[in-house]
Amino acid sequence: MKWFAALRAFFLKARKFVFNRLLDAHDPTNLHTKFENFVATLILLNFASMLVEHIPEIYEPYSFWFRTFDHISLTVFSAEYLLRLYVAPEDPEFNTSRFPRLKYVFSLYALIDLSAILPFYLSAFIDMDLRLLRILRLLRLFKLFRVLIPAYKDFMYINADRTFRQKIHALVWPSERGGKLHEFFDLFIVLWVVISVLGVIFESVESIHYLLNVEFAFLDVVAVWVFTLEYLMRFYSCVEDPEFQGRFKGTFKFTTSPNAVIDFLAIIPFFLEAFLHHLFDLRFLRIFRMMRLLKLTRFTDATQMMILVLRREWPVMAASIFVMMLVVVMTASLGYLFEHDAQPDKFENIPQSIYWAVITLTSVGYGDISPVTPLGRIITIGISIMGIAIVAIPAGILSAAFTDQLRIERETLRNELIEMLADGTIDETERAFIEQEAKRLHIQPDEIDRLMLEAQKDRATQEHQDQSVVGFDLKSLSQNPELALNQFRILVTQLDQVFAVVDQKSVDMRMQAEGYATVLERSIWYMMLSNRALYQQQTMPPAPAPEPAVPMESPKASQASDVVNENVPDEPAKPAPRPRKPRAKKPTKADDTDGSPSA
Amino acid sequence: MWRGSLAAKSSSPSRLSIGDIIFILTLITVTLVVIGVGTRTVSNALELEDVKRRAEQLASRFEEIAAKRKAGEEITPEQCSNKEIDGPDGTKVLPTWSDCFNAVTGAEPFSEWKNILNPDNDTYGPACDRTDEKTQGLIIIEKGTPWFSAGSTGTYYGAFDGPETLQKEILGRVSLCDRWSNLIRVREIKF
Repeated sequence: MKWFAALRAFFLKARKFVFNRLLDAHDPTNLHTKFENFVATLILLNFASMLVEHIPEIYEPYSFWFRTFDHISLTVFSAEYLLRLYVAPEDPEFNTSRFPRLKYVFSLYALIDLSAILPFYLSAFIDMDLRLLRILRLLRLFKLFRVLIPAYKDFMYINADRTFRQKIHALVWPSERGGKLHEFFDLFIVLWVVISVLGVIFESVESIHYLLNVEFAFLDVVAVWVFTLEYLMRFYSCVEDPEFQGRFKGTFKFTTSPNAVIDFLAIIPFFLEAFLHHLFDLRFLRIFRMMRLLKLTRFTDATQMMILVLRREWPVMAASIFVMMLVVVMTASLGYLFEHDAQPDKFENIPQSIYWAVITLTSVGYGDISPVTPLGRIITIGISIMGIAIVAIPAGILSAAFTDQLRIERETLRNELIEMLADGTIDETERAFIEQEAKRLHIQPDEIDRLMLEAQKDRATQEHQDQSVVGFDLKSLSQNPELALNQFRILVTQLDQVFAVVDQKSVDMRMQAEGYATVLERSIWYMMLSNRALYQQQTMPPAPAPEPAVPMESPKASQASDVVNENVPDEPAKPAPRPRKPRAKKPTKADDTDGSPSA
Repeated sequence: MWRGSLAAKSSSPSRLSIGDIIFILTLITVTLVVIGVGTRTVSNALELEDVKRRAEQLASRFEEIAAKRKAGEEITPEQCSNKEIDGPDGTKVLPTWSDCFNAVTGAEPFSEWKNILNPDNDTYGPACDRTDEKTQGLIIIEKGTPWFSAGSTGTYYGAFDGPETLQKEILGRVSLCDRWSNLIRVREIKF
């Protein structure tokens, strides 16, 4: 029976391992999120496959692949169901029950999972209509609730104390309160943008349009519905956004913002065509459905960066464009001058020659208009060579500016990393910020690690430099007695200088007052006071100021002592340089008075 | 977090404000409008599908006749055969394309068809014309004429003249006109 116990222990261990690594939703470091994403993707692919299957022209030639995909999906879903059933005793949600697996079987998610796979198995025993089976396959969509319901609960918890409009704002606009549900909302919109634009593209292919005319019409209606609701939600909740403060002013600012205009143009052709088709032929508006592609700019910073780069480089670009225009007009004039007589139909006038000049300068060279006279050809040789350089200038400027902008932003991120490392750790907020910036700048995780290492090194170097300036590099001092001795000498010298310049009587009074100095400070003060008097009497009684023991390794201290020595007889000495990070000073009234005792 | 709106400040989180209710009603209204317009759009598309099915059926009929003629089988209607038929004045004449077309479309089920997209319009016509609403929903059969120019070849499709005889194989194309009188090609036939 020993082997049985060992085997049981092994299976229990394996069950725990599988649950912890794959299905524990509370552990952010395991593979749970990836697993859920994989299943969600499979569900969506199943849905897409189901939609396509009902088109005989597509399904019939590829029926084998459709069936194979369906079987693979079903295997995955069945395996998932069985796996969840197996590890149910490890799940805190079910392990409190006496029969955890039974409790799991009757849980909401388990029933949804079962409904996704059961029709297939039933069809093996019951003669089911294929169409009914297909409809039942739609139940697989409900599996998405496994990710949607927790996201919704999380969202409601975060926004429990907020109004309806604020909740709408959190859902549709990026904010701290959006949570996972906002991410799903964004994903949903992006998905519909892609589907809708693909629909518009394929609709222009005659053979596909002929087959899928109804499907395209239906797709467009659903897309318009989704985008209209999205627009209204953004419109209603925009005033909750700091960017659009104020009910009327904010709403106006939102409706005139580029993103809102794009959103509006994405839906308006549908309504115009629907309501005004009997008055005008508005089919040309359909091309504006491609504007939906621009909706994706909301979800990426690439457009913002392009605008930023263009704005920054505009003076140079404008100069380059001006030169280009000058060359084009001059070339066109020359072309007209030399070719008009030979080809009056092609070089009919200067505007027509401008077309030829642009096509030649940009190295496109359609060949529909070409010079035939010797002079015209010589000019063409010249401008063709010149064109390569002239047209390449703006491209080069833009390319360099983009690279520069990326470098600046990465440098900024690096500096921010250095700042974040000031306390030696990266907390959750900082980590989230880094992830967000990495996503925005398209930086891979390994590059972030590299940047982090660099930032750590920079931070260490910076700290070392700071310590060197202060003169309290304790690590170095602990390892080098000679250096420690020198440091001690510097400090004694500085103390000596302080004694030389201060009004000892006033300081002495403060030292005696309660709360002005610590016991240690007071002891050192009196010790220095007595010893210094003795020292002056014994060694240098006539000197105006004590000669400090200047170590060779401390040019700064040496300079400071020189300054003191020169100034002491005539005027008060300048204070010694302050360290960058001084100890917290105790508040004294003397700091802002003329030095008279306040007690 | 900034909460910069009058309604947001004044209303309780648990209750819907009037603005919220208006917003929800707007969403419902828009949804209904989209459903209404969408239903019309989809039903239009379905109607067009019906026209397509009819055009395909007509094309199949002509292909069936062409196949029988090629095989030397008996053809009905006889206006679509190569044999001479009785002319209007009693003389024997060779049947023309227009004789055949009229005979086919005059027989069931084609004779019973009405224009689906616009019942006031004819069912069959010579060509689509975007400026003419009378061509909406027409089923048309065009004659294909091969062309050769500057090394390229192609087929030009235009209206049948009518008196073409059926001695030689005719290249045709069955098409239809949609709601905006755009041409939608259905199938090419050899007759």
